[in-house]
Amino acid sequence: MSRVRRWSTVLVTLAFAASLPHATRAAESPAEAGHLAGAIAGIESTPVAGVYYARRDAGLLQPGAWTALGFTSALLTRFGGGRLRLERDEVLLRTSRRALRLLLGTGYSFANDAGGSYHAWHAVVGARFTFELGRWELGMRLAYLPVFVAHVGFSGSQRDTFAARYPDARDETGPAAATTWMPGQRVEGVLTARAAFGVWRVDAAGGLGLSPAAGRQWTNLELGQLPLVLRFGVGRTF
Amino acid sequence: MQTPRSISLGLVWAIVAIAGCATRGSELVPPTADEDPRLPQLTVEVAGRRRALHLETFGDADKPVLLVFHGGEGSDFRGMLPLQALSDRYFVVMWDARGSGLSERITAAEVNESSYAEEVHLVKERFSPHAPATLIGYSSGGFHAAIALTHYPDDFEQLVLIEPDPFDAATRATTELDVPVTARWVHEYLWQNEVLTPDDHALADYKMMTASQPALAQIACDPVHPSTYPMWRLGAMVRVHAARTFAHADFRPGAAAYRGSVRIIATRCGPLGATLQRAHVAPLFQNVDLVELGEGVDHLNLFDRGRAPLLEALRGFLTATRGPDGSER
Repeated sequence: MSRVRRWSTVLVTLAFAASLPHATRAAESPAEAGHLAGAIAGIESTPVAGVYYARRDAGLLQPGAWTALGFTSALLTRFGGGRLRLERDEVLLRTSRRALRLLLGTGYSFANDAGGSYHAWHAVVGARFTFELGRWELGMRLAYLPVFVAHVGFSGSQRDTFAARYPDARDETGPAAATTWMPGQRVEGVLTARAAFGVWRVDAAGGLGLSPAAGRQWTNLELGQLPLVLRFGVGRTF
Repeated sequence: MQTPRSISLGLVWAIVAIAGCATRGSELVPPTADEDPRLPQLTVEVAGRRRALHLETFGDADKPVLLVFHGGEGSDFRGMLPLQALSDRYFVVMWDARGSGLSERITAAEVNESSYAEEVHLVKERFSPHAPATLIGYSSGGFHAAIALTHYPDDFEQLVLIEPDPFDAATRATTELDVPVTARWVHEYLWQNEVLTPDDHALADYKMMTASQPALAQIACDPVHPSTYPMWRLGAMVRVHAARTFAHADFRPGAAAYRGSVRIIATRCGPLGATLQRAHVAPLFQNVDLVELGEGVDHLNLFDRGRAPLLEALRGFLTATRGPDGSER
């Protein structure tokens, strides 16, 4: 993806988020509703959609913490790929209009393709900085997402790649599956915007989710690298 | 410091520490020659670096030498194993190029025209130091053959090109595979980053392998029952580097200067079929003929389903009789 197109994507996302009508101040007071459920749609390299539930509490460090459970599906894989994630959002520092939050989470991801089926355990660790601008809560989220372990059940064709390697053992077959440690890591940096309309909440986020170890190939489509993150969500507090 | 805060920060550091103890994806792909001593191999020094080539030979070493260069940049010679049938008359040598297949991985700096030519020359010199050899190049192996001809034209007395890549950049661009944006396999590949990222050679090779078969199905002649091409491992980074290095390369002059006999073998369908070969590759050579294989044979299955007519086309052309020491056999 060219630099112009990358920045255009980010700017369009920001413009769209800013064009949303003025709204009431995002709920942050501990006295306000403590449950939030909603849906998201967007792009995480590929089109995704999902649902989430979040619960607000007094926090381990400061008031205003959230715990969220979400399920995301990669739509065009026809439910072959998805993710279940539990995430904790703790306030580290807070002023009247600004807050610095710590993100910690863990989850399970699954995928399927010509190589086989995948089941992975991953984590999220990061920070989110927010500030209130008028009636908006604008922010920036930076997160590191390591995959701790992935179990791969090889397809027949992938298993066959291990066969016939040795001249004296052409009939030797390959393993049916493999477990690999730390097979993936990504860094996500997105700009966020959210607003509340009574009991309804609207969210938008846009930025990059790239593989840092891919180096210069971080936007190489032949290596499956399309580091675009766009999310739009609608939720309701209760 | 409050206990909950210290726990939170401790978890952060634990995650970062675990992330540093990576084992990556070596379990997902077969090991390369430098990692697996059981693999037949040859060590060569190219561009100042010693590298282990996954290499197999078939037949009597005193017979005329026949070098076989695989197709698919980054791929291997597994699909061409049926050509070992030629070992009744030739000493057949097959190998995976540096950074490709089960050969040792290389750096971007080692992907250049001179080192590609030097590799082929060194393999030829290793097995036929006193006589020219015969070279068979398939698909992108034809491209490598063109590079070798440009630098070492006297190394080969006969040349066979099996549906080779075109030798000029403009024509090569017309044969590139499309990426169907709505295809399920494309999005499965993109979502795969959720569990695997190209952090090292093994992971990058595995990732590219998973996309290669559905991508290659586009050039099969029967879309309902697409052919498959057997591979061991796909060298992802050498594909990436070679695409960049040779994006504008033109090796037509090397072909035009070659005075040995050339046979081009092609199928009747696909982007690298007889139509393209007749229009863009055959006219480059001084002494060439083109053989078209029959129906039902395409770029992927011509060593399997097309084995019999392919071997017939080869045997009808190959006439080398000098052994590696230069004497007649």
